[in-house]
Amino acid sequence: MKHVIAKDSPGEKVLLLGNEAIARGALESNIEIAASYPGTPASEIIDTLALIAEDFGIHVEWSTNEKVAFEVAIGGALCGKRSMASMKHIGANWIVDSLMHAVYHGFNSALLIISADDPSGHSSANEQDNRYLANMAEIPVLEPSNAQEAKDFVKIGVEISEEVRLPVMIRMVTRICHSKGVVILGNLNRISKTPKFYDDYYKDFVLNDNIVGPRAVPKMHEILHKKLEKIEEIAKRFQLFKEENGGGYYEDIGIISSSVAVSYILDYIKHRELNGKIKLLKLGLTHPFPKNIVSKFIKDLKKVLVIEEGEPFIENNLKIIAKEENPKLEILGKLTHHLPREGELNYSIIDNAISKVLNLEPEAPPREKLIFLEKVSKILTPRTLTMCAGCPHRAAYYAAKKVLRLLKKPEYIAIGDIGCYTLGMYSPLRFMQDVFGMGGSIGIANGVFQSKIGVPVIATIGDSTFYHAGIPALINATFNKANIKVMILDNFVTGMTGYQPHPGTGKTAMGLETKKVKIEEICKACGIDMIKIVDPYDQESSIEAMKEILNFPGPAVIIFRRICAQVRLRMARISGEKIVKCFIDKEKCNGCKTCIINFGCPAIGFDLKNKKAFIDVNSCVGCGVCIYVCPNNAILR
Amino acid sequence: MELNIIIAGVGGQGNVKAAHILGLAAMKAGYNVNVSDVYGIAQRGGAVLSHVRIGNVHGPLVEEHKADVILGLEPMEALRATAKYLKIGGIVVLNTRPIYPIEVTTGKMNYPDVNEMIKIMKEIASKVIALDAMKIVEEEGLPMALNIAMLGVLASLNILPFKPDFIEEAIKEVLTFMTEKNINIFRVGMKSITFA
Ligand code: SF4
Ligand code: SF4
Repeated sequence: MKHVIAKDSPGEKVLLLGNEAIARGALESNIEIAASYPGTPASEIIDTLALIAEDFGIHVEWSTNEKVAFEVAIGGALCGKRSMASMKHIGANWIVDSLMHAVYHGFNSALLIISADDPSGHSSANEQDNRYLANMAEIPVLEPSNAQEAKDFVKIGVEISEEVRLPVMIRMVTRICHSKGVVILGNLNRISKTPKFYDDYYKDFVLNDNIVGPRAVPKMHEILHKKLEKIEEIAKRFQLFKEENGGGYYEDIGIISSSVAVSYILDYIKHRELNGKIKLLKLGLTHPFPKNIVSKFIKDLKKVLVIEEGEPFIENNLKIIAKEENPKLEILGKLTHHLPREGELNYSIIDNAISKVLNLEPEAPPREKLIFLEKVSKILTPRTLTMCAGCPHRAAYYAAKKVLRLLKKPEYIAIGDIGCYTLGMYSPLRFMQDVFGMGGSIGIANGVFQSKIGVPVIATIGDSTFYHAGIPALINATFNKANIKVMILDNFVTGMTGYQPHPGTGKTAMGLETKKVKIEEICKACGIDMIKIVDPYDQESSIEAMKEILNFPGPAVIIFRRICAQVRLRMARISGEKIVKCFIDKEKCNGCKTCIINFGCPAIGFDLKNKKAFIDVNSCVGCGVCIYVCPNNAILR
Repeated sequence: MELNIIIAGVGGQGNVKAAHILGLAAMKAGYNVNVSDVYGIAQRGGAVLSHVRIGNVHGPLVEEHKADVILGLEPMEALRATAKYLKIGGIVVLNTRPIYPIEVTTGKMNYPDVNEMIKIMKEIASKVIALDAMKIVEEEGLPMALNIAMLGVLASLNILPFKPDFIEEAIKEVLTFMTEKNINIFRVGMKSITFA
């Protein structure tokens, strides 16, 4: 058994991650095509499906980016195969163009978008509530509140999508994606549908009124609106709205909630023994906003507290409805500061908010504990993130910095991109000064150069990101003569999200052999005349190559190529290969700390007692770069 | 019944796997369970907290100051978690071998003294069980299995509402590689505190 989600044992209880539950839901609802680009917190959906895809005849792929992934799903749905595309919240920004077209179409087979929001930005550059994206695109949004629902809602999403012929979004959040819960397995009724290209949509739905061309657009928009009108009734049929707790004691106060927030509320109700005493409406569908359900719920209330993860989406919609249904209703939530608008929710936040509304004393943390916390925080040291021991990116940045120093070009501008190598922005390397979204490094470097800033302009980007979004920007550099230097940090894997393959690896998501798409060939085709490929562990060659790149009069690319240290370790563990580590000769080390302050491999430590550096054998991967870094030749292998 | 456990450690220590095994064991024993892993960017070396909630629970995370047990794979992270999560009178189970953060290896800051940390924990905890579990797994020739040894220590304390057998069953299901060795380590962990 490659993964528990493959079990054909309906009724069995298994422990699944929210993302694994989505994968199981896809399996149970006969999804045949699933595509994605890796992004935390959504990556495990495809990681899991890929393990079992072949056995079930599903096509599972890591696409080059989210737009392509979504278009792959559109193509599948167009040919009668239930399809889905999954992505993190920011990843969904890439699909907007295709999505705005897809909603005017209609598919005979389900088309799902699994979008994972990351409130608090645990592994993201922003907090973004993709319910607003669904709102703009005018598609239904389902919000599961735990792993069981994550699985079940995929199935419901599929059915709604097919019934109204619309893409459906399932909005996950980090705390559901990355939490495990008990899930009861359903039936696996896999049937492979014969692919058939359906061209009935325009014919039957649009063109039968004999309107063509631009005049068809408002008509198609009208069809979309008609579809949306039906959603609430359908959602009711699937029991997507639940009054979890009959109103009793607090007659005129209610709570409306969705997603993971519901589980915190249920804990609160349990702790405060409010079972059966306060009304709770749980929305499993939040767009189109369930007007009738909500109107009925608020009708006789004086106050309602809205608790939701992300932006005040329900809250704002509720305001519109309350104006007609119950204008005196007091609507409390993020906009009234009963809950913070930024960051992820947790139990204490919810405890504070509900207690305030119910006039109860919020649970105060024990005083003793607070004093303790204060005392402890004084002796704790932080644990900041750094690139792994032996990370090839650190070596690449070190070489680049050294060259800039050697060339007496202390001033340069380097723009970073999204991946492990983003950490090169922080100490001790502090190589890049700024970073934006996927592929942004090359594009922005273009503009930095055009500003005539007069210092070397560098863009750093990873392999996977280069395929994702770097290419058009690189073409732009050739096209518009932007003399930028692009450092492509190629470690053969999408490291930050969990080591997924990409077009340069020669392997698909399902582990099948495929042709390698070479970065250097792409660069050449983009019109780049100076391309250097170096091994960052070989500092001397790296420095030479970097010099040439910087001196070249035009856009140039240097590819630092070396496998991710973690992947290498894993491979060595499997093959039983012994790794030769480095050590420090105590006689020769004079305690200058160059290896620590300028380079910063986490395997190198400093012994304060005898004022010498040391290498921790457990973490060293024997890359040998520090040998080169030490000015006193104190590091040996 | 409600039992809240936090496994505190550093990326790469097998925190997430230990939490999964514990959760799976609880499920096999017939309990409801929620397991959540809280870590920063998907990278090694950062602090990782796994929240394991067993019984009649809903939310994914253990509430602050409400954890019954902190299972510390790394001492400083255990103290951090104790301060934030342990209930007064809760239990700490601790591996005493530190993993130094970059702030310490670079000589910028000092790592707190381990004995001092244990002393402080005792101000809040009813019991602190501290042992060099890393040494045990090194002696057994499987340093990767620190997490499993620590689960063994936890299982020997009679605080879990189910028998250690369920954990062994879960180990067999999760660790398909070197299963027998891991089961052995788990058993060594179970016996270790009587000698410590
Ligand atoms: S750079 Fe060399 S001499 Fe300086 S502290 Fe490191 S090992 Fe010692
Ligand atoms: S060889 Fe040096 S740079 Fe490489 S991992 Fe070991 S200590 Fe770090």
